[in-house]
Amino acid sequence: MEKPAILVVDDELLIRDLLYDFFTGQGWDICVAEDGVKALEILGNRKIDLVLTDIRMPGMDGMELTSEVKQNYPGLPVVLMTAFPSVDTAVEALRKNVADYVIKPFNINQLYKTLKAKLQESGVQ
Amino acid sequence: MTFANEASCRRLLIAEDDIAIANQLAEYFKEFGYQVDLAVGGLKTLTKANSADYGVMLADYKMLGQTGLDVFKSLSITAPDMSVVLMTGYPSLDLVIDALRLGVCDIIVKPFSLGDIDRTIGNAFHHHWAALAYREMARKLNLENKIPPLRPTSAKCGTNAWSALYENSKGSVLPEEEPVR
Repeated sequence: MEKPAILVVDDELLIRDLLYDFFTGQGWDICVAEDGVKALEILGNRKIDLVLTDIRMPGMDGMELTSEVKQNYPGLPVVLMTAFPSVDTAVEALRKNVADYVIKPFNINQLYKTLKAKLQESGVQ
Repeated sequence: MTFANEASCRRLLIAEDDIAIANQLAEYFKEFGYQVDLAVGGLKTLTKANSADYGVMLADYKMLGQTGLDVFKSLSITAPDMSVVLMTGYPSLDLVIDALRLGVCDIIVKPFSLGDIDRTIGNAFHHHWAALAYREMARKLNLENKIPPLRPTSAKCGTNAWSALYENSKGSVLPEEEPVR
């Protein structure tokens, strides 16, 4: 069975490295990008099973990236992360049909379980 | 497609304990050709919602007996194609995240304009029609038991469930439609 391919998008190197190391250790295939524009480049070049993105990033933020993903890759689940949760962004996330809205700091094991469940719902795992 | 003839296509249930607001909304939507029923209290709403085919339920979050979200959880089992829109005057982050995870179609914050509620309910009916179309297509391909249920979250963008239907339908042939007379 192919490894699930996850695209992690976050402007903070520390978070990207943490998620890369942990998820790679779980046997997943991880790509990283520091903003929405880089993420879209990766999506255009290879198959991705799930996008995990921060909301607040310079350049193209996570909400804009989500809109692009829903427009161009409608079957692809998106999970949003944020250290600045608000009712407004959560409602916007609900309307954009994201798979989940995760508040930082997160428990990495819990995040792994969440993503695994979303991959199973998509028939990937 | 036969779903256009479904009774639920323009049938709206408004669940709101404030009778004045409920009546006002009902009158407004009747003007647009919707068939509208009212329900008061969480438990009565659940009974009413299960008693007929509604395409959309507009439910207040805070109701006597059960919250709008509790009612939605029950209905997601008995009426999975119904789109549910929650109304609340006091939106909290926890409520919105719970609603997102459970697959509520939309949340609208009171007070809202008639234009806002009109757009929201219009979108919710589109999601319901997508769910009916999905079920109809699955039935025609004899795939009803082989595909995931179309949860509201997937109905919204026609996403994962539609992808599964597509994958499962490879090699299948749609039966010929009866000619319209």
